[in-house]
Amino acid sequence: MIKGTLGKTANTVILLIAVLVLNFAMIHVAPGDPVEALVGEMGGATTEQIAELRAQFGLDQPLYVQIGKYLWNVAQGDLGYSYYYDQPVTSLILDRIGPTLLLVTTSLFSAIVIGTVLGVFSAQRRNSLLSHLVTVLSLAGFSAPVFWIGIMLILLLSVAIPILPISGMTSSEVPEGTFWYILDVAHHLVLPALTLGLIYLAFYSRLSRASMIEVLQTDYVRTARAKGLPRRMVIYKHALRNAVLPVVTFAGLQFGQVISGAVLVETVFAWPGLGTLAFDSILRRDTTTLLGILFFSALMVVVMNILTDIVYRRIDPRIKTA
Amino acid sequence: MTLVEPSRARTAPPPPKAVSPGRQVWQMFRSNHSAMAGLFILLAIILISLVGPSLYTVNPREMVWMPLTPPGQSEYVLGTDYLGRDLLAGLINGGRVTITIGVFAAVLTVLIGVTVGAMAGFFGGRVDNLLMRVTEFFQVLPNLLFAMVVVMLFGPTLVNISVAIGIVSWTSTARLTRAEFLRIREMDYVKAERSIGAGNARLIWKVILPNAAPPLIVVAALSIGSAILFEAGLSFLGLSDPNAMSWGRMIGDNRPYILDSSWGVTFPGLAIFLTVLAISLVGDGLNDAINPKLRQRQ
Amino acid sequence: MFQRLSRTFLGALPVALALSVGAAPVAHAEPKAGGTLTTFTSGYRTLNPAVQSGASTGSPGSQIFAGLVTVGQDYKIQPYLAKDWEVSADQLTVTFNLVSGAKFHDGAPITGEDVKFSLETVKANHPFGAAMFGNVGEIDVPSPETVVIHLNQPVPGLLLSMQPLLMPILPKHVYGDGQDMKTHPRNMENVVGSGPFKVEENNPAERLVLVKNEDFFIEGRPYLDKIVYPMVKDPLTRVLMLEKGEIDFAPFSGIRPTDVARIERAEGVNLTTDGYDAIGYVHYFEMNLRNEPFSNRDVREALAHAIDTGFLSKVIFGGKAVPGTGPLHTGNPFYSADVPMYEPDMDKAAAMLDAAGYPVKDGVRFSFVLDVPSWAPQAHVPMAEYIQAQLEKLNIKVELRKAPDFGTWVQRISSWDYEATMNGSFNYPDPTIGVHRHFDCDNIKNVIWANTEGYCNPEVDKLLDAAAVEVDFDKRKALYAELQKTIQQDLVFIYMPQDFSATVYSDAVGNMPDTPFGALAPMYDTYLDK
Repeated sequence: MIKGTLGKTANTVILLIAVLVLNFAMIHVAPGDPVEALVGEMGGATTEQIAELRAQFGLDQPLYVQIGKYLWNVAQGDLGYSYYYDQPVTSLILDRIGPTLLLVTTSLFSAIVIGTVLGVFSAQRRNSLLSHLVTVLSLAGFSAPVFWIGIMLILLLSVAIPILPISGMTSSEVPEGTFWYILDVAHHLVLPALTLGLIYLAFYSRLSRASMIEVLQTDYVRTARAKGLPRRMVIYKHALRNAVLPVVTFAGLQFGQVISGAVLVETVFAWPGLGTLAFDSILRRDTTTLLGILFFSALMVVVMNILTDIVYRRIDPRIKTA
Repeated sequence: MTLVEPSRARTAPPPPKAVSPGRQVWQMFRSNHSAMAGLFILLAIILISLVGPSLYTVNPREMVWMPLTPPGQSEYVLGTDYLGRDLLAGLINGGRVTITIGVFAAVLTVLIGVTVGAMAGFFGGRVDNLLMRVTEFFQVLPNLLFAMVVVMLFGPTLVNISVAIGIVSWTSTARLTRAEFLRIREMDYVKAERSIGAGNARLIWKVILPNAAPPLIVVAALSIGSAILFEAGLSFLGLSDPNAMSWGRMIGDNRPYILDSSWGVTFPGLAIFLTVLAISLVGDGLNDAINPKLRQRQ
Repeated sequence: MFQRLSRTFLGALPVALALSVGAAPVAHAEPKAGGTLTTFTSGYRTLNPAVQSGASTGSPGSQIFAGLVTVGQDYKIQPYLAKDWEVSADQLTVTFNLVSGAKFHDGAPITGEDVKFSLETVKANHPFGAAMFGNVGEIDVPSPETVVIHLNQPVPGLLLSMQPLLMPILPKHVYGDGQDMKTHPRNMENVVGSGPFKVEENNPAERLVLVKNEDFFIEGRPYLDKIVYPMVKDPLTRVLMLEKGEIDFAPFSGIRPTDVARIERAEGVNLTTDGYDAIGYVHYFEMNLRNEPFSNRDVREALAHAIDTGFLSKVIFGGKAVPGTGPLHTGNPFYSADVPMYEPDMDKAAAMLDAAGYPVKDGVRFSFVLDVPSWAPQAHVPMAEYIQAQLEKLNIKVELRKAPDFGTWVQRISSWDYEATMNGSFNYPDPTIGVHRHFDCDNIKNVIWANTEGYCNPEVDKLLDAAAVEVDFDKRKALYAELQKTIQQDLVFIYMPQDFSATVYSDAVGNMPDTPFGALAPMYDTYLDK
């Protein structure tokens, strides 16, 4: 058991290092570098100033030296310093992770709960209106681009009927840390969470329904029903548990990919999270920040995988620890 | 998606040499109304994209009228965008780019995914281990971000965009292929073939793959849909080929102007929606027709 | 505005009359002390204008740091930290006398040593440092309140460069610790300035808050208690906030010509395009003059006849962007309209191309890649797309290459690895700062916004050198008129519509900053009448 965990940990570490190295190499191989971006931002510079900056950022050293230094720093928890934002990358990321988590957790959570309920119920009443509704909804959510849905919602609920804010997370006048602040954020959260939530909802209602249908048809369930066990009990005790397994798997996967998932929605709504930070850092060639975000994202996936494993084990009685 | 009734479910995997499976699939597909609707829509869209530009010759990139003209107020039926370009021309021409990238990316996804999965599933052992590591690596990368970085670094051309999408999308195909190969590899008829001396290549190509194909075909079809959505997302973020008009790009370009013109973003979005919807319906129909028991989890 | 009136009219006019003459559309009562002005920022890298050019830093920077002088209406130099100054007869020595008792935000006195330090810092670190102060030699500080600047050659634009945007007065005791100024931590943390406002909260992802400097060296100023800069990057949000009056004052508002009607309709909200002349933002189509076909002047002229900047200005920019006619912005004091004009004429363009050796062969005359920068897309993208579609009519195939990010574009242009690109730059009020760099033979370097196109004309160099040291305004103006004519004759660039920049402000704002520097000047006179 300990050997297994060690092995897994080693595996994970190698994986993360590989992610870092690949991204580092790729970003530095491409044309243009952070100093040029910085110089352009500054409004131009003389050749001497440029050389100075290069030396200062250690960019005049060979690639393997740079990678080595970077890896060493990361091991110590230092993700580097952002040329553009003039802040350590770690604090930048920590600043922005909050809004992203808020958005993704809200949408994912609501979508999973509502979707599972919808899916489970419509699996049992297969030709009902509900079932067809779920089908249509999930197809729509699947096929429409998320950013388009967001824009359509803005047109509907911010422009045509102006009841919700068009973008951003807060209005500037409301001071932080008060009850009004929380309300204000919630007000701003509605549209982006709705947008992202619809996509997840489509996915999870379909998933849970398919999964539930399959489980309901298994021998195990049919036997239990035949034995005369009350329907409710069968469903909730057994079928649901098993039907939920794939939901957990995918929830874990999607939460791990939280940053990617949030980029588009955050862009549409100017939501100040990691998604917009990632996009900006690509635009500004802020390679350290970008690397930091890519690494952080990989880290999240790994963590979510582990968490998912744990939850899985608790739910599925058939799995024994290896 | 209409569900297949339990009575139509088969309880055993299809035998290796089924009698005209193609015909069976087609017949099942045909009786599925939504799948047929999807097919018609898809064919219509493809037709318009192929033939449309020759019939409706307005240049989508030329400024033909006042910017932000609403639909129905000029000879340009769907109105103009923020640069005064004809929206209808944009839609008709945009289809080509969108669908082309979608198909290329999907082809790449399937090629890489199936190859990796087949090798891993067939050879097992160390090969499997190594390939699964690689798959895990690509699974851990944030897909949209990585694709953005690739396109940014190497330039937003049609080829690069397709490649970028392909690179980040193949992992689930690989896993599926591997699972199928693992399963089928243990089947009696495969063992039988091996015992009469069939080589690896023959086993993979002629025996296992055709039987693994059904779910893979469905995945391939659905990949086109997700590739199209992916490309739309990249275009929306500004990472599209500036010399080509694509639907995602139209949405992105016109987004700053939604206060004054909703049509510039609505119509291209509808186009994407319809196309992907049609593909999904077809894919689901294929799924139901080909392997009603091995229903995909997506 | 109020200050200037009181200077020239010295109380001779009754107060009521004096107050009713003004730029603000609403008549205000006495300037009121107090209030919070809400403006916005779209992101800033640093708060120190000494190491960063541009409005994102310059706008808050000019409030946090003071300068030796300010620039008033008609480019008149006005005292600020320097209460007066003397220029020697040979134009090579300038002596400044500083205001007594001025203090930094941490209480330390502002002395000549700080002025000296600031000038040297700007000279070494600012992108225009060398252009502005290259001819500055020794700087003496005979007493804490006197600074003597020795010049190697006369510098006519010296005083213009000494306002807080371009030469902020930095505290030597904070910055003089040997760390590199461009990345000094005190540029963002615990910023100690010399100006009318202090930094209270600096959170670049969310907002910047400046508060009144109670010990500001001008009595009774500033009027405002606070200036708040919430981060609003999204142009859509900005427009809505402006419409609803949630932003009091928005310079460089980033609104598009299509938004103008909407703003004008809104109650209590006004719009002006004043205040951008000193920045002088020009756009141009830049060709790499080293290679065919752009090395051929007739080809360039043909293109000039094909590109109808009037159309661009009228249709795409809603008539709000003035077509550029040459290297100087129309609001620049040295601007001259007496330049060759190239009327839109597609037939003439076609004929010229044929004659220049580029007939139509297999449906194409020639093709080139047009780089489109990633910055200011609302300007560059429409222009590039227009050019592409327009030149297609002449059988010239234009391939757009949108730089995915700033660094890539900078790298391409600065290494001269391009055929043509859309581009733009700031003139700044003195042409030696922002204009010379594009045309000087000596400035053909691998640096962005230097003479990247590779233009070299000894006649032009002579004009540039002469104008750089000519102190007589009329003589200088004549030299620049000649320059503009020559540049347009040689068709170095094809000038596009100038930037459409507008300031949106509410009725409550009094003493709007209305000098040529607009909101990039200190706002100690501005007040809120709510």
